[in-house]
Parts: sequence; structure tokens; C-alpha cells
Amino acid sequence: MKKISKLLMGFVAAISLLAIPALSIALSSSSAYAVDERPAYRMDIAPGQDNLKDLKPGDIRTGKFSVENTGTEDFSFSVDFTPYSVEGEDYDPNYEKETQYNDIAKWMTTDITEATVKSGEEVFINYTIKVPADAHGGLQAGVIMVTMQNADNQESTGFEAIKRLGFLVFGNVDGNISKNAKILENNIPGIILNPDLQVSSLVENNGNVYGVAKYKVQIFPLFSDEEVYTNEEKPEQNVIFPETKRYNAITWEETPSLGIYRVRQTVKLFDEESIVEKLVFIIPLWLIIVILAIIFLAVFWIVSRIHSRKEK
Amino acid sequence: MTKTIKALAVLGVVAGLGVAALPIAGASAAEIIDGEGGDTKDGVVTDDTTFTLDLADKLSITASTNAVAITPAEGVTYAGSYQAEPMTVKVYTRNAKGYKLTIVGSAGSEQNNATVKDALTNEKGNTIAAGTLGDADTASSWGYKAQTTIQGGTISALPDTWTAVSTTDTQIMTSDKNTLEGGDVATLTFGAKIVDGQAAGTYKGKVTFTATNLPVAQP
Repeated sequence: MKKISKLLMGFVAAISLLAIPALSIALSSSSAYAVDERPAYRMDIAPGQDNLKDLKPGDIRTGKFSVENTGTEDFSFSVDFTPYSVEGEDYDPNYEKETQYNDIAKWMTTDITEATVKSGEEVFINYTIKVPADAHGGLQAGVIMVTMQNADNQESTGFEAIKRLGFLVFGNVDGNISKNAKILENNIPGIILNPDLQVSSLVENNGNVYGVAKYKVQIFPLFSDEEVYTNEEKPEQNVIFPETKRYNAITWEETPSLGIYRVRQTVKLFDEESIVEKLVFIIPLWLIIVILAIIFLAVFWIVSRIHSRKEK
Repeated sequence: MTKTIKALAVLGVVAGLGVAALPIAGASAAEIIDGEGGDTKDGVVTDDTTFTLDLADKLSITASTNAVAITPAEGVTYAGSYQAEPMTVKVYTRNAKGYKLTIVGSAGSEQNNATVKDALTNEKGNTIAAGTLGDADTASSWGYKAQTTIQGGTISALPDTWTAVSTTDTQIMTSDKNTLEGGDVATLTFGAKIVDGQAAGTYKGKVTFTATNLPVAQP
């Protein structure tokens, strides 16, 4: 009986040991979310962009976005328009270079060019885009820049730090357009030593309109057609501007530490499509070292056995 | 009551409190509504309620300061190293494809009528050019070093070399996904190297930080 009661006490004690931290977590969880400390000056725009999709010469499009003051001090802002283009495979922005693809910066107007926003309030900016009747076909991309005016002045040697947010506007104007693409790279690694498994690709848009590249990844076990991962229902997408290349990578967040999988990536832009399927070995480095060590020991043992037999 | 039973009782109460505190997820019980629709065989009637939450695509920017003073390093009275306290620029976005944060020199009429956008200019028009503060440089220059904290991770290493402020937007921070609630942070340290013969005066400049979302097919 004493043994049973001791066992019972031990069991309940174990549960209690788990219970005490759970209780303390429950009591403290009400304060788990830190209060957002509002800075003096913070500016938000919502939404952050407008994809106009297809435009026709002569079209007039309108829209709006908000400028919100989420800081503790009031601020003034001004509005202007800049061209938008991208450089490199990572799409670094250029707000100054004028090309045939960003005339839209000259077509845009807003109902507000300057305003003051009190702390906690927002101001709506209504914009109008008038596409000229003789606009040429192709991509058009521009930015409505909202620049916060500083109340502070720099009195000593130094500089003033200005903040601005760009509301991106882009679309394809109908007309003499071309849609040409190349899938330059579709990469799946053969062996990975550390998770996570990442597949990548590089696409090139040789047309004069923007396209949407779609990336579908399917991962199957070695001897089964039942997917362990797929984004088929919602493939990843990237906007690809004309005369640009864009790099993309997709990571399988739940890559196991060990396994052999069939990985298939499908990349499509306009009518161009690339499908690559490859066997991927996922093996941690320490396991490779252990296997090599075992092979080495086995070879050493065989050689030493042969050598000792010869000596006999 | 034996000691054992008393001890068991106390431990049991504590265990019970703890189990109750555990975050146990469970299906919500069906809500009983009087007399409307549904199956009434067992007296339980259910109804569906639809919830909608609109989360607007949003882009946000803030900086720790609007004005940065560049002061001499300890022991420097005139020529030598000058440095500013680090400043931070924070970007927050809900855009699934992320954002770009750039810096550009933008000095103008309010900075001693500056004619060179990426320079510091004094009252007499003398300038300290944008540069990399090289040891062998014979002219004064100013520049910056940038570190970033992305997705709440650790701050990147401080670069060994200075970067010159440019008159074209230069990327200092980027991400290819939406940020966490606290935003991504760029920490910038500005400095200057002043050589002998640099004219006296209060040198002023201006930089503009711009954040823009990357384009998405369906924002």
C-alpha cells in the first residue's frame, strides 16, 4: 500500500511540476504582447501600389490611397511624381531614369499636392491617370512620391534626413505590344547538406509589356506519387517588367533532415515554360562523415585481413 | 486523514489549476438558438456566422531622427575623423513581395544653397564631397556604413569600409517578403574625414530615404 501511495504521489507531483509553469505562463500571457511605442514621426500609405493591368490609349483611370500619421507629432507632406524602372535581377528601383516605359509619371495628377496630417489621422489622396490618345503600347510604371517635410532644422555641421514613401502605379497600354520570354535557369540542387531545400530560377522578359511569371513546385517521396509539398493551388508569382531578368527562389520550409525526394519545378512566363524534375538527396554532413568513416574502416579491415592471411 | 492523502489532495489541486491553464484548443460547442432553422431532433440548433477581416496593403517608414550632427572624434580639434551617433530607419510592409529602401543625396537651397546634392556645403559654398573616407585621400569626404535587421533577426555586421552618398537612389535595405510587426531596421552610421586646409564653417547636407513596395500581380 505504501508503495502504491508513493507511486501515486510521484505521478501527481510530476503533473504538478508541469502545471506550475503552465499556470505562470497563463497568468503572464495577458502581458505577452508589448505595447507598440509610437515614434515621433511615422508615415504610412495604404495601399502601397495600384496594378492598373490593361490600359487603352485615351483611358482615364482614377484611384485613391491614404496617408496616415501613425506617429505622435503632426507632420506636413508634399506629393510629386517620378518615373519607375528596375535594374538587376533583384529589381533595384530607379526613380530618375526616363524610358519609354515610364511616361506615366507625366500622365498622373492628384487632388492634393501638400497637406498636414495630425497625429492619429489620415488624409486621402485621389489620383487621376489620363492616358494620351497617341500613347504607344507597352508597360507604363511610375511612382506617386509622398515626402514628409521635416519640422526640425539641422543647425550644426551635419545633414537633414528626409523620409518618403512611393506609391507604385503600373499597367500595360494596349497597342503595338509583344510578349516574348526566356526561362534562362531552372535550378534544383542534387544534394543538400543542411535544410532548407531551395529551388531557384531566372526568367527574362524580351517583350514590351509586363508579364506574370508563375512558379509551381511539387515534391514527391522517392517511391510515391503523393506530394509531400506543393504550391500548385497557389503558385508563386512575380511581375516581370520588359527588358529585365528576375531571379526567384522558393524554399521548402519543412525540409526534413534526411531523405530522398523527387522535386519538380515548373516556371512559366507568357508562352514559355520550363519543367525540371530531379532527385534530391537530403543528407546531413555528419551522416556523410559517419558513412565515409564506416566505409574506410571496412576497407581497412578487409585489407588487414588479406594482409594477415598472406603472412600466414 | 493521513498525511499521504493530504499531500495528494494538495498536489491534485495544483495539478488541476495547471491543466486548466494549459492552452487547450477545442472545437467550439454548437450555439443553441431558440426556434430558428436547423435540426431540432436533439434540441440543438446551429447557425453560421461569417467573419470578414480586410487587411489593407500598407507601407510605413520612420526614422529615429530628422537631423544628424556630425561631430569630431575624441581628441580631434580640427582635421581628423568625425562621426555621428547611429540613426535607424524602420520600414514596415504587408506586401507579400517585400520592399526596397534607398538613400540618395538631396541637398538644395535650404542647405546653404547647395549645388551639389550629395555634398555637405558651408555658408561660403565650400563643400565636403561624398566619399569613402580613404586614409590616402587628400580631400575631405563624408559617407556612411549601413547595417540591417531583417525579419527580426540579428543585425548584420558593420562594414569595414565607408560608402559614399550618391545622387542616384542606392539600396540600403530590402526584403522579398512582408515584414514582421516591428518592421525591418536599417542602422546607419555617418562619418566624415576632414583634412588640413578645409575651410571653416557649418556644413549642411540632406539625404532622402525612400521606401517602395516591389510590384505584385495582385496587391
